[in-house]
Amino acid sequence: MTGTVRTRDLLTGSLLLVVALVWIGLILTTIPDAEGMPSSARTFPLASGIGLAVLSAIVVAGALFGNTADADQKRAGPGLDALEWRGIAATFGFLVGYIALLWAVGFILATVVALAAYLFLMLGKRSPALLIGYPVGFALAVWLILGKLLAVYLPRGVLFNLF
Amino acid sequence: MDALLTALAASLSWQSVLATFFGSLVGLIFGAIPGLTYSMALAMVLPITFTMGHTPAIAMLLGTYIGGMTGGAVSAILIGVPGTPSAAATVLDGEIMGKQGKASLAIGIATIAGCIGGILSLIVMLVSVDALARVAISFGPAEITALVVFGLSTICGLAGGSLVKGLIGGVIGLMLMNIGQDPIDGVPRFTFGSTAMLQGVDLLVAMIGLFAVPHVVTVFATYWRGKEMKIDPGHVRTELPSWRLLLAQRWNFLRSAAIGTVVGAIPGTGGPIAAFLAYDQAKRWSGHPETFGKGEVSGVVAPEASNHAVTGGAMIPLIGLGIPGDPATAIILGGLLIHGIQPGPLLFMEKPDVISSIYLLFVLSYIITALIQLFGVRLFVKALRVPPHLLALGILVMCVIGSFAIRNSLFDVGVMSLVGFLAYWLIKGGIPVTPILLGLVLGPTLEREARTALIMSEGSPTVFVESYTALLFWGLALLILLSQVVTMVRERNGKASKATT
Repeated sequence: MTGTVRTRDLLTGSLLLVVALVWIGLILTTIPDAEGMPSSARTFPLASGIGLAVLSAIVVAGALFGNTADADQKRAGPGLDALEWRGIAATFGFLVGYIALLWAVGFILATVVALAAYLFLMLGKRSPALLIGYPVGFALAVWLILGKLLAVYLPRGVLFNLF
Repeated sequence: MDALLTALAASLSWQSVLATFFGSLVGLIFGAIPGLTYSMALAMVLPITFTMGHTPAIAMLLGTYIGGMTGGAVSAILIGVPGTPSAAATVLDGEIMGKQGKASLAIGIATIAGCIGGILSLIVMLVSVDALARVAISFGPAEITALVVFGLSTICGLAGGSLVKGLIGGVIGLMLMNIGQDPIDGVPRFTFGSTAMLQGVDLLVAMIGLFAVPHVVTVFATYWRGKEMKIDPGHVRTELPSWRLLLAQRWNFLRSAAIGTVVGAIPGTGGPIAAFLAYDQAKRWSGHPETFGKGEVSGVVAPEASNHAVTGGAMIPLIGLGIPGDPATAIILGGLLIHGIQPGPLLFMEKPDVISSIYLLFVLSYIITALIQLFGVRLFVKALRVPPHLLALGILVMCVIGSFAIRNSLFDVGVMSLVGFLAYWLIKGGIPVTPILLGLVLGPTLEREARTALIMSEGSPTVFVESYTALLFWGLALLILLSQVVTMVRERNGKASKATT
């Protein structure tokens, strides 16, 4: 997704067009139509799918045939460099790992472990005060204020629970 | 007069003031944390009110409701993630103001705008509760459909450089809300046999993912590039809005409060529609619309005055007819009934002191909430002194907890993550995020009301243009669309003529 506006629009439009066509296909094959009814469960998703298909086709057409003299020169904003990919992978990895830990060991342990691991492995922190203080302090503060004082239900682990 | 004095004494008793303070504080906390809603806060404080007299009980419920509405702006400004759907439009300029070192000014103006909007809506409620309640209740599914389409037309003003890409964003928002059980027949859509998918995509869950995940990814990437902004404590000013600034916004306050009150009075609508409509109108009436989205004060005033005016508007059918317009007012109605107060026309004749108490406590709640917020500004902006990558990690954890707390479901946390990454890719592809949010907010109402109208009219599409009210909203939506197309064509022609000379 790097390069000019024209390249970016061509890629985005094509991808969205494919999504729209798959969406329409799924509607026609999985959502039943209601015979004789003015509208059915299909109506709105189908209208949205057709809308997306038409709009993304306009974007693709604009990128291919549009009279955008500067579109080839104009940069499409910051692209995805290695660090941006790392950001995506790290954030998604954190979320997946944290969700798994929440499911297994509940809020407090999961939060302490996930935060400490991220600080150490991804953010390169080595200060013991930060590695212990931030995760433990944050988890306990949220547990006390939200969990205990305001009675917000926090995730409980299926394998083990602290408190 | 006796009723008013009795109400004044009861409303200003230490029990009522303390109950309002507690309610406002709880509401502010729930409103400020993305994922926790003021409906949840109201459900939490409702049992506490059981043992109270009716005036402190109303005080606590109103304080929580108003505090919750106000709290949404804090996270919208400080971290760019709206605490409530009503604060989504506040992010557009509030976050930029925060990044410009004007977070306290933005929070201050949002607080004052909310307070003024709320109190103006109360004045409208006082003079028109009976008439407006009857007009609002006459809105059927066809009129609400037209209103929602009018709301969606604000995409034109929020689309940025490309109307087509703005519309794509809106459609993607509508599509996300199509997942799960269909609202009329209960038919599963895109669930692939999964029970968890039946519950669909929750608006708040999607909203958290939409705003928080792209923000966090960008913060981490910036940190690894070594370009993280070092926050200078001196740069984070605790500056409150001046009288001159407030006076300059007077028409914006009035216009936005009027929009919020009218929208709030219509059951089934609510804060997000009002906020986006007010933002769009503020931009259209502004002498410098190009500054919107770049840290414009009017862009914070309009949504905040409007979404707070919704609280007064929503009280109109609640007090006047006993009809709640949203989950929050439904809980308040429940609280009133538990205390033996049956809202409706008879209440005005039988218990005028209770009506006066509600009005007075409404004002008291706004004042106390504003005071907490204004005194807390110094504390709130301290969050900006935490290094952004550490703040981002905390935001991520809070977003996970917020997504989970909505329905106590880890599935929702997964949905939040996926929506977040989808949003990130779309942003990179040049698709603006705000229209997606509008699609998310308005999609379910649009489908439910349009299909109900069609069922009621036995399939006749003319139902949508039969009333003057519906025609008015269709006309306004068309006007906005046409004016946007004309503006874009003019801009393009202007650029083309510049290029040839």
